[in-house]
Amino acid sequence: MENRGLGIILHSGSYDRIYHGFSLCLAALSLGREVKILFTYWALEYLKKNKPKSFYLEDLGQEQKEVLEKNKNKGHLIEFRELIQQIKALGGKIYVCTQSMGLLNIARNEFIDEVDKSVGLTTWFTETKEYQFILI
Amino acid sequence: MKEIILNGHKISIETTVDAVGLFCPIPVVRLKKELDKVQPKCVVELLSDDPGVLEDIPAWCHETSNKLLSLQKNEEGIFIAYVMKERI
Repeated sequence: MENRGLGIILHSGSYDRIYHGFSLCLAALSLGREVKILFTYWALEYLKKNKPKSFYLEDLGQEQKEVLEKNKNKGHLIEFRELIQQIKALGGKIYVCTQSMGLLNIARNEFIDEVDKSVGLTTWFTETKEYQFILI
Repeated sequence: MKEIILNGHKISIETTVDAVGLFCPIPVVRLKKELDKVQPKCVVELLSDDPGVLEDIPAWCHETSNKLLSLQKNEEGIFIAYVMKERI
């Protein structure tokens, strides 16, 4: 069976969306698929150095914030930095969007070392030919 | 190395992955990482309390050509899977 690559585009900065994006990435990598994640706009905050992200949730997530925080404190949710390291260990690639960086005044050296490269959308599509895409 | 009797056969367990308290897809991810480390024909034990593993582990083994020897729930509600590495 064809094992297509997976391109995940993270746009939202909401904790639940980022966490689920990482989960999708890890599940696909575990099945032997190539995965590339493109961080854009508000998702970029999660890749900044020395900046522990507060527990931000958008939309309906606000109502369940307490439940999620409790489960996080119980150890049911893994820290983002560890998830990123697992993604890298399984061969996942992490890209950041140059357009979003420009619009938000973020420099390349503000990101953690796990970021593979900053790319424009043309490069992104060139490197993800035949991939399946998910926008989160 | 731990040994168990499975379907009347003695099986040596190379290592155990304790993923209790962790949700999908982490049990599968941790199982894969351990299987990557061991030699072919070695068996890895997975412990999980995520009901998702009941379908995820067989599906993952099928897709990756590894062999699921057993997957059962114990009296404490923990799912225990034994997976033999087939793929090099």
